[in-house]
Amino acid sequence: MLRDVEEQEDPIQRTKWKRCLRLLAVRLFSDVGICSLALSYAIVGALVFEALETQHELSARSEVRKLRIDCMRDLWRITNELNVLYEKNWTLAVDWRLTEFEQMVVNAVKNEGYDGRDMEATERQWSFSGALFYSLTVTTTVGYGNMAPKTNFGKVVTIFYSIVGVPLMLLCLTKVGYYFSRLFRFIYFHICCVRCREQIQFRQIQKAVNMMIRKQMPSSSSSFPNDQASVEENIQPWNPGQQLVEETAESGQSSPSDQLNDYNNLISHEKRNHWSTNNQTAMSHESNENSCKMSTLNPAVEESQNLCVDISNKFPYARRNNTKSSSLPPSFTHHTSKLSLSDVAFLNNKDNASHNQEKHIPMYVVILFVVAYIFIGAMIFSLGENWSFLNGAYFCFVALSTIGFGNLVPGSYKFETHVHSGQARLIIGSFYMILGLAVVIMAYHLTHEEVILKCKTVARNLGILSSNENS
Amino acid sequence: MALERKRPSGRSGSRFAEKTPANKCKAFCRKFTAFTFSHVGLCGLVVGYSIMGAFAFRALEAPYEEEKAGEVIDMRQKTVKRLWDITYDLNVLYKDNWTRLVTAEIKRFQADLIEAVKDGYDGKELGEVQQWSFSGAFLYSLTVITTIGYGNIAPRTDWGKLVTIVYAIIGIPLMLLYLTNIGDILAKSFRYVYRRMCTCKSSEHYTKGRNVENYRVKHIVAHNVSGRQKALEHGVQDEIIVSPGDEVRIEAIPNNELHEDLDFQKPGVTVPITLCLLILVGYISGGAIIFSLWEGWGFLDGSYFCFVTLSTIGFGDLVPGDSVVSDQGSQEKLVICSLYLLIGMALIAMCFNLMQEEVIQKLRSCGRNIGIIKDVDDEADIA
Repeated sequence: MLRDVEEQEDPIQRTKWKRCLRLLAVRLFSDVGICSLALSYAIVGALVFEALETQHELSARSEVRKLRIDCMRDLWRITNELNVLYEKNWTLAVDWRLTEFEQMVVNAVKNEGYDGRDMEATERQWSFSGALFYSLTVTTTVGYGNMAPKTNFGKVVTIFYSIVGVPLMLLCLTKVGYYFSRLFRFIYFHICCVRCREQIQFRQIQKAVNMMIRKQMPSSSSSFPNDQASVEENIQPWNPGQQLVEETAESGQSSPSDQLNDYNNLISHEKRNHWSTNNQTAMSHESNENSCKMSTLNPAVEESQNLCVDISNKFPYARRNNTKSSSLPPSFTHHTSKLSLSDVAFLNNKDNASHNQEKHIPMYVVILFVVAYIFIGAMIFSLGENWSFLNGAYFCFVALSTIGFGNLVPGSYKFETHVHSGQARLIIGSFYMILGLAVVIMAYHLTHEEVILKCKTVARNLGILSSNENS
Repeated sequence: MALERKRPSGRSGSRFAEKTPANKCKAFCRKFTAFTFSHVGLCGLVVGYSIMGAFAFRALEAPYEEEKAGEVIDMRQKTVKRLWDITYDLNVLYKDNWTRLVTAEIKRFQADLIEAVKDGYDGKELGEVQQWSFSGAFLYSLTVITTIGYGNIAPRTDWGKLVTIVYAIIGIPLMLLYLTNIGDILAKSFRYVYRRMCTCKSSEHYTKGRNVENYRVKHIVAHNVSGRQKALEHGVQDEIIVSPGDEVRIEAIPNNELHEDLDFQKPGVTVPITLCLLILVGYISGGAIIFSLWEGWGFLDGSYFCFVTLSTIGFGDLVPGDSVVSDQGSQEKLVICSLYLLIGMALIAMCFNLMQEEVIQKLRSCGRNIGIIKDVDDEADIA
């Protein structure tokens, strides 16, 4: 950043310059910056390719026209020369000539990119939208190939364009996919999953309580021994004068304000306690990461960010004589009417320990979503392009997996009902493709941990992996 | 700071108990699957999967291709017949009249022909070498699982399309696994060779910038005001209790030394990026030369083809062995093309592996210089 030495040497100018540069770079590499960069890169590419390839396309059209005219002329010559028209003779000659014509047309289609349009047709393959579609297929590496550069310049530009464009597009799509995954999570947990909604409410209460507790508690450090108490043990607050409330597994839900009142009572009691170092037990967690995470999650414990401080050790505990069942009933986190302070902290631990698992969207939901996306696309394209449903699904799958054969591409010439429909369909097609790739990346984001876990379990069962090695 | 815990190394699969046939069989199965997913096995698996796909697709698509070629011949003959009818019907041949009618016919023929080409017809006569020969289908399967997807050969039947989808769903992850694996091995061996060569030159070649980021915490030592010391040993304890006023020191060891891998004698010698890029460019140029000589393309076309293939873009406009006029040896060309593909992708995986660390390092330092990324010291100063 700003080095002091340099600052002394060239005070105002340099700092201003550096600051501007830095701001620019930060903007550029922010999320919006990357996406708009990718978009403008695609647009610039579209303009460049349109300029490079249009000429060749038009000349290909005139080439084919010339071929046809030549063929016609030859046919007339054949017909004219034979004074008496014997069918066999004439047919043979014409067939031969037509075969030649056929070969040349096939060559024009395959090697020169001729698409069947006439000279008089106003729409081009390499129009702006077509070239935009092309640059998108290059940067996403789908690479259909129905439109491919035929000029030398076009080929060289394609190579360099893709060297820069592929990582850029990858970066952009990753970010978009990441935001999609967050959106998906939000929608799923807040709207779709009723169970999850309860949990979220519950967690909000916890957070509020923690903040309150934190404010009231002495902020001095607590020394905690290294006991490895199990997570499942239930622990009570120390003050026997307190009213302890049992957790009930099946009680109905209480309103948040209820619980808050309870906690207020508990806190005021707590204030009159003094720390008892003997009876404190450290709550250990499943792993250190969780406690670290927890401490960072809790805004009140900001200062202990760099070390793993156990928040639960802010409260005095004593062991309960009658330990309940070692594993909490699964409905515990859902249906508790009143909770003791320790239980709050305990829940905090457990909740944050299982924080990762809670936020897990089941894999089948994500897969279902992707399949639904493909189906929707299949319907759109089969209607718009007059394909069968299988062709539509096939096209969507081939596009999203970036295989990109190119024999089925939207916006083809055959079904041009009115002038700009081909362009419109191309734009819809590119939009679908980009969105679909972001969806695929989102799905990968949401499920890859689970997939790897499952694969490892399977592999372990098969005996391929021992607990140490990785495949 | 993630503290690593060493898991007790246990052998999960050792059986000292009875060697019943069932157990033997199980052990053998396990060994077999282990081998299959090992390095050599994975390579063989990919090739085997492609061969299987080649057979399947050939069976599905070759009949349709023959049908299509037959259709085009049919179409042509019909056109000729219609032309004859036109010629015959007009008793007096006026050029304009005749031309007009015949032009319409020819245009229709052309349109149908273009449709046929887009539908898979490739201009080769019936009876000659087909597109969906075995090597063609093999190349096709490879293009599916590598997601290159040329498209010059593509399934036209419904069944072919369905099978392609299923084949891709299984094959693409398989190919990714293969690539990661192969890239790993190749990168390791390349590093080893490179290091050997470096030591042969007898220069003590430590990296210029040791990554500050790649350290793992080994030790946390906290000194109390009273002089007492509590230490946290890697793998022994999980927590340490500090009071304000304690001085905490963190000792760390470089990441490289934690590798339990084979050949890390001198930590820190990384393969330079330029070398990796040179390898890639060399491979592309080599392929370009070979293919351009064979196919009669220019060098530009050849390198364009190689680049488009290896980046998995895969347009399909230029594919060796797929010219309009069929020529001898197209089958061999397809096989060579497939091999080129496989080896090229493995090389790319290796180069990614080799370049990863250094690229990230360079980007970081670049970002730091520009000022996007704050240094750790800066943050500490501000805090």
